[in-house]
Amino acid sequence: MADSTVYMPGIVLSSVMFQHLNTDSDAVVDKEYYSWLREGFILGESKEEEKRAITDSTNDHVYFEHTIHVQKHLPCNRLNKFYNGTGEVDMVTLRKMMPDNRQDHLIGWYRQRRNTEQRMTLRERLVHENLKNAVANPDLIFLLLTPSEVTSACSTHETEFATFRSLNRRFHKVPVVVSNLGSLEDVVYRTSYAPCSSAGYHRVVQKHKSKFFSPDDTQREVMEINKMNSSMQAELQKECKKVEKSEQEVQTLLAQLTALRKLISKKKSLIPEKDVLRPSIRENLLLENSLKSLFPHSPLFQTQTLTLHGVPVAESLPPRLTTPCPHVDPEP
Amino acid sequence: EWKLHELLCSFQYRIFGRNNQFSAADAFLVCMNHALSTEKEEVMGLCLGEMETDRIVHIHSVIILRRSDKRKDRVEISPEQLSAASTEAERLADLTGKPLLRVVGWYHSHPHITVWPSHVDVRTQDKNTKTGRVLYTCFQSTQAQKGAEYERVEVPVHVVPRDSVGKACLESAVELPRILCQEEQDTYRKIHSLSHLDPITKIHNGSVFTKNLCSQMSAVSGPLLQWLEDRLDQNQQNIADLQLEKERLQLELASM
Repeated sequence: MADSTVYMPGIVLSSVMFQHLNTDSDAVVDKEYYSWLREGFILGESKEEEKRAITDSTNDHVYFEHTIHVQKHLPCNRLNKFYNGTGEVDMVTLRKMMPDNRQDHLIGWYRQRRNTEQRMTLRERLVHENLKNAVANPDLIFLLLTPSEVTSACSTHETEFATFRSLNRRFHKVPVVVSNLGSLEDVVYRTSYAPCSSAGYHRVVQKHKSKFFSPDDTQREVMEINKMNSSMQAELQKECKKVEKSEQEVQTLLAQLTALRKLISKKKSLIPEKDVLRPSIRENLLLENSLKSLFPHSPLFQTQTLTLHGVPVAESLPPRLTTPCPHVDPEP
Repeated sequence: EWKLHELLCSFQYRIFGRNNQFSAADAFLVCMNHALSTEKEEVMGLCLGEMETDRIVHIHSVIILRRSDKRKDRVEISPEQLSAASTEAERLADLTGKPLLRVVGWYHSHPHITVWPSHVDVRTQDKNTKTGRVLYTCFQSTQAQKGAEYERVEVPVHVVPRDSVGKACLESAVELPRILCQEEQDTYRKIHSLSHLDPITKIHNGSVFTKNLCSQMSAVSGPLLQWLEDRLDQNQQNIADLQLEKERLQLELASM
């Protein structure tokens, strides 16, 4: 198996942690609405590349590098859960939860468990194996996050996270790297240079200089990348405004639903009990008649008097109970 | 060779007396995203919130700051930054209807365990576990008396659930790529103004600028944009579901 590494952007990890914090607290007002946020799917891309390296022992060492890039997470839909109590995966539900062919980008699933160890449970292993087979992805990963309090004073908290993958039904941890600016190769600005006095060198530079510099000595590449970055910032601002509006809309609806539920509950409490429609008891007369004809004398279908322990009291007992007496040989 | 990624954040609050600190989950999201944006340097920001009583502080949002001095084991906030933060706090106070909103603390990150408060057991992990870890801790520095050494006092910190991401936090979140770009542009401007450099070196430096901006776009802006789009999709789906539920409840109410 090639060496594998999972790369996850910081915002994805932060977002998963944020959603967990919104579910696992007594302060959550609408627990039912948020209970589904503890688990979900991971979408992204998986790549395997052949690489060659020169080592001291060989000048053609071929190895495979497998990288799994996490792009986003998809919390499970509140109405559906994609597996049952025995870990069997419901593909119909899974497809409903991932419209628009997102299933092609399904690279794993995740779960958050507070104050537990970084070990997969039996059910999680079963679900993982079943999901792996259902989506036909042998490299499917499982991301487990386990938040906990480190100090008794609740001043320090930690969240451990790891990804698991199965091979021949054995689970191995795959290293996770949180992609960030610092992990990229350092390339620094130069403030000095080694002068070159070659005439040919200067001729080549002069010949191609205009492709890099504008007449006012600004660099074309720098201008273009600045423009691209400005467009990126504008896109971020635009999306930010849309998300802000949608957050407000969600909040307004939640408030309206809470008010409606309160009103309904209040109205229900004012309705007198006799007016409350009770479900009518329906009798199956045909069944009753059949049982009477088939088992006319069966005590199970007759009215009986029972003791406190549920033992039927026989109706034909004499007034005085007979007591056992010692055996006496009959007179000759 | 795999990499174990450990980033630590610490919230520091400078007042006297024992406090409880509450941070809204969306402020926590912005702060964590900021801290996870780089493992090569410490990031820092300010916490905006309210003091509820003498002992309880609520953090509602954060302001991401540029670091003027990026040397290790030191963080500095300039008077201009503090002044700008106070102005921002006033603006948010008007926006959110919380007139007591102000700067209540600051946060910074400790990637790769540079310097960590001694009261926290970092528990250096066995590298073979391949498990990532993120910690956050809250403390205040107090002096028993004037002139004495500062001591660290633990402050219980709780992240309060917030079922939505507030406007202030959304604006702070998208501020990060803008600040990173500004830092890079300022650095490049200083370098490019060095008139003694030859064209090849200038082209090299231009490429460094391009490369750094590309890194910011791919490591920070891109994933953030992805997250915003996903959040919008999720909210729109939730709105549709909530609308259906609302109609159902209205029907139920009408039938009563």
